[in-house]
Amino acid sequence: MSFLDFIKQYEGFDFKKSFDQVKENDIITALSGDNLNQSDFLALLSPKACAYLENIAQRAHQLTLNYFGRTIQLYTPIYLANYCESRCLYCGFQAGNEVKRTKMNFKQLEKEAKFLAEQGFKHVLILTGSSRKQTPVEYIRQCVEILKGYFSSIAIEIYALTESEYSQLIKAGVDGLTIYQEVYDREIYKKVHLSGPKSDHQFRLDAPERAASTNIRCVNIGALLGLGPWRSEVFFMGLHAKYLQDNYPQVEVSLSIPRLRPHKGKFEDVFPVTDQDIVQIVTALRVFLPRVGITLSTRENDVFRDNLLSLGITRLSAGSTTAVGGHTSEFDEANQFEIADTRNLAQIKQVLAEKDYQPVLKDWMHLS
Amino acid sequence: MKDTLIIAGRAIKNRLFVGTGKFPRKSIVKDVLETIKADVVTVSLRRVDLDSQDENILEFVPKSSQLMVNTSGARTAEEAIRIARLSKACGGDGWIKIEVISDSKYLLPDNEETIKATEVLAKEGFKVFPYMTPDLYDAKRLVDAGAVAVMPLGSPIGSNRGIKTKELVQIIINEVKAPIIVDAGLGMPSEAAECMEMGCAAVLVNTAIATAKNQVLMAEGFSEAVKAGRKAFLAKGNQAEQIKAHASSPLTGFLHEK
Amino acid sequence: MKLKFNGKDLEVNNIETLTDLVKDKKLNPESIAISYNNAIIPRKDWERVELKEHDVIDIVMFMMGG
Repeated sequence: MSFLDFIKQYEGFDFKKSFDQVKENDIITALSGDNLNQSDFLALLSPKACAYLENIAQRAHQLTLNYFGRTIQLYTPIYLANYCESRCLYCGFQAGNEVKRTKMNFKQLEKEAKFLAEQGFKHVLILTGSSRKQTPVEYIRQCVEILKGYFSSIAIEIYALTESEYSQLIKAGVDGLTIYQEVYDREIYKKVHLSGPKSDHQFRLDAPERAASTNIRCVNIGALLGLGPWRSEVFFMGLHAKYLQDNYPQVEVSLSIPRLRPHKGKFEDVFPVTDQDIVQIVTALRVFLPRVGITLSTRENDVFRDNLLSLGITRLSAGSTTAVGGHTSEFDEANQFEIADTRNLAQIKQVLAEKDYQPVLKDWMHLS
Repeated sequence: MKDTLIIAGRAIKNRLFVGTGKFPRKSIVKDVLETIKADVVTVSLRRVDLDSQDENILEFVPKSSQLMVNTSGARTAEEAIRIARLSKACGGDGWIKIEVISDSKYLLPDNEETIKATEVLAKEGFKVFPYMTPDLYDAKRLVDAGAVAVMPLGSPIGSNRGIKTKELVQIIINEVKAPIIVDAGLGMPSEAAECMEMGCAAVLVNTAIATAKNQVLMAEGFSEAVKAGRKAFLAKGNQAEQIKAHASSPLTGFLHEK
Repeated sequence: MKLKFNGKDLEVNNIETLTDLVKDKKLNPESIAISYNNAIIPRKDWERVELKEHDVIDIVMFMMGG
C-alpha cells in the first residue's frame, strides 16, 4: 500500500476538463457538508471557486476556530548543516551550487540551543541537506540528544530515512517529521531533481508513511508551490494528508504550503502562485480537512502571514534563519532561501496578542 | 435500478432484517415474514423444553430466507463460540449474530468479548455479524478479525428510542469499509428510514414489530421505510443551504488593498 | 441412571445411547443439536455415545429470538 497507487490513478487525469465541469452547486455543496470527498475538494480548488472566496474563507475561519480555537503554535528552525549530495534545481543548498558548506559541531549546537531556549522557544525543527555522508543518522541522533535538554519537542526535516532509522530517532526523542514531496507530478519531479538520493520520487513519497507506521507523533507534509501547476499539486497534497490521516489515525497530520522564493541558482521554470491563490489554497485545505494543521513559514512576508491567520493557519515559525547556526550568527550567510518575515519571537507574540490569538510555545512535553 | 446487497456471497433484496423474538405466537411470525418477503431472519438457540413440545421455529420461517442465529444468552466470548458451534450442529449454515451481553440493566453488548468471539468464529468459517456498542476502533477491529458486517446498536435493546447513536454510527459508516447494519432500538419506520439515509446497508428490527398491535402492518411499514430511505440515500443530491452573499469581504478584502 | 439434562436432574431407565435418549423424549433429531459433557456430538455419532451416570447433556434447538 502506498500513496503512489493513488497518484498513478490520476496520471493522465484531465484536471482542466474537471474544473470546467464544476458547477456553482458543487461549490455550495462542498461548503455545506461535513464529510467532504474528492470532488468537493476539486470544486473548492477550481478557478470558478474564486468567485466564492469570501464564503470559503468564512467557512474555513469557523472550522479553524472550532477545531483549533484561538491558538497558534510557534516554533523555530535550526539548520544543523547544509552539506548536500542531491541536485535539486530550486534549492539554494543543492549540490550543484557553489555554497560555503558548514556543519555545526556539538558545542556550536549547544550555543544555538541555549540562545533559542532563553528566547522562549520550546518547539524546534532541525534541518539538514541531503547528505548521509556528512550528516549521517548517528550525527542527527546525537544532536537530538543535546537538544532534548533544551526543548520539549524536536521535529526533523532531513533526507528521507528508512523505517528503522525513523525508529532510532524517535527513540532518541524526535516527535515530528516534516518532509515535503516538493512536487507530486512524477515527470516534473524527475526534471527538477537531477541526481542524488532525493531524486527517488517514491522513496520520498513513502517516507511520511514509514514514520507514521513507527508511531511518530506528528507528520507534516507539503508541496513547494510553483514547481508544478498548483491546483493539481494541492489536490494531491490534500489527498496525501487524508490518506495518512485515514490510515494512521494516531498520527497528527499537518500541511505546509511553501511558495518558491528567490534563492541562489538559476531555476526559473516557475508556475505562478498569486496571493489570492494562496488564500484559496489555505481555505480549501481547511474546509476539506478540518482537523489537519496548516503551517506557514517565513517564506511569506509579515503582512501576508498576519492576514492568513484567520483563514486556517495553525502554526507559524518565528525568529527564523535559514543559515546554518544562523541564530547565533557564527557563520557566513549561506541561506537556503530568502526570509520574507524577519520578525523575532517577541514581535510575533505582540501581533498575535493584537489579533486575539494565544501564542503556544510549548504544546506538550515528553515524560520520559 | 439494481441495488442488491451482497453479504457473504448471498444477494439480499430486503434490507429489513427481522428478529423473531417477543412475538405472541409463532403463526404471526410466519405472516410477517411471508408478507414482507424477509430475506434475513434471526433466531436464537435454546434448550428444548421436555414438558411442552415446542414446534420448530423453522417451520414458520420461509424456506427462501437466510437464517441468522443469535448467540443471545452468551455472557462471554467462550459462551458465544459454543452457541455458534451448536447452531452449526443444529443445521445452521454459519450465519451468526454475535451478541455477548453481561449487562442486565441496559443490555449493552461487550465489545471486547465480541471481538474475541469474532476472531475465533471467523477462522472456523462462520459468517460473523457482531452486534456492538458503536465505537469506530472496535468496528475496525471487528472487520480485521473477520466479521462480514458490523452491527452497531441504535439505542438499547427494547428501548424503541430510535437511532440515538447517530453521530457515532455515521462515523463508522464513513470510515469502515464493510456493510453497517443498525440493530436494536429502532421503534418506528421513520427511524429505519433515517438509518438508511445515513448510508446503512440494512437494519435489524425485532421489538417494534413483535410488540405492535398489528405486527404485519408494522412490518410492512418498516419494510417500505427501509426501501424509501435507501432510495433517498442513492439519489442524494444537493440539499445544501444557499450561500449567504457577503456585502463586504472581511476575511479576504486585504487581497484587493494596495 | 441419573443424568444432568438441560440443567436439571433426570432419571432414565433402559437408555443406553444418545439416540435412545432422543427417541425416548420424542424429540425430532433433525431439529436439535446435542452437547455431551461439553463436547458437541454430530448427529451421526449419537449412536456411538454410551451414557453413564452423571453425564451432562444439553439439547438445543432454534427458537424465537433475535
